[in-house]
Amino acid sequence: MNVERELLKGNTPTLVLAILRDGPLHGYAVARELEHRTSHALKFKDGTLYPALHALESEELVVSQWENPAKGQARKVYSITAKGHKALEQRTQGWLSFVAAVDSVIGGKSHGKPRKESA
Amino acid sequence: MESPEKNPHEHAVEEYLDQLCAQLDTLPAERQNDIRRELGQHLQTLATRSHLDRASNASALGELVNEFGDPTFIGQQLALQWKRSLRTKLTPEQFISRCLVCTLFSGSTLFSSWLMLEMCRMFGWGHNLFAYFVIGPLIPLLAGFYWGVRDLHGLNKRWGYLLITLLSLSASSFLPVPGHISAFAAEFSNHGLLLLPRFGHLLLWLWIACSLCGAVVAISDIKSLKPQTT
Repeated sequence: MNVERELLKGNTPTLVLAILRDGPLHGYAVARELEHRTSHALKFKDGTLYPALHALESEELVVSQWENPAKGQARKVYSITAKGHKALEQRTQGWLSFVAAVDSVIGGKSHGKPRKESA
Repeated sequence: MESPEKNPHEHAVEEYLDQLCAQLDTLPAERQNDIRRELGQHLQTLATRSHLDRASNASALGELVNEFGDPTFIGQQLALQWKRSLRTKLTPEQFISRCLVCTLFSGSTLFSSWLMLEMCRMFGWGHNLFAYFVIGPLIPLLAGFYWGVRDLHGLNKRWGYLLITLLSLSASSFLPVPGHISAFAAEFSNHGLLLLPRFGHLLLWLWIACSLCGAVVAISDIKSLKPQTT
């Protein structure tokens, strides 16, 4: 669905920041965590995460570093910064206000103003 | 890149990365390697999880595209992202050098366009406005401007060169060979000399398009520049 895809595209940085709030992760783990938390409801290609991760990094909302575990391959791990925490808070507030506004329209809640009656 | 020891899925990962990294040619080599390494590990994990070691090269590649996305698109997005991040980190020295590059490209465009018009006049090609439009510098100027604005689809792409070449050869095939060149070719019995004007036309068109494309890219860089204050 195009609307869903556009919404996901616009909110991918927020979702990534929210996932990294709980601890540093590499790109593959971010993708799986996103799938897991949304119960596979949001369909996205793993590759689209990387432009978002790199954008967050250039905005200094996340930092990355290569980690070499004793076992297995080296991985580039991303962590959220203090600036990232603040940005996430703002984005979350913005999203909640947006959802509430859309919900009130879809749910048919009245503004309290009387409707114009047609003659 | 391929070695005989590699599994089909490893070949598919390499092929996928080659397609993706082809879009990153404007990035420094170190950055390209970093992206290749990072994405390569993700793709290897995907391939292992999806048991692609049992698949053929083509089906493994198809599965990677399905899971990871179109490599060309992702490569373009990464290149665009790099360019955006670069814009916020330019120093005053880089700003000055870009202004200089822009001036050189613009000067080159003006000179090549003038040369093109001179060539038209000298060979008697531009006998009216329509002829100047088809044969003169207008088409490569438009192409250079368009590719400069689109940036990611610039003339560094093979199809850009090919299109300009085809248009130039089509246009110049209708042009009369100047008398002195025909006489020269007849005198030396060398018909290859008859191709000289067409070759000159093609070179000038490529020059005009490339230089204007470069000028537009440099101008757009300067326009969106945020020089460092610290």
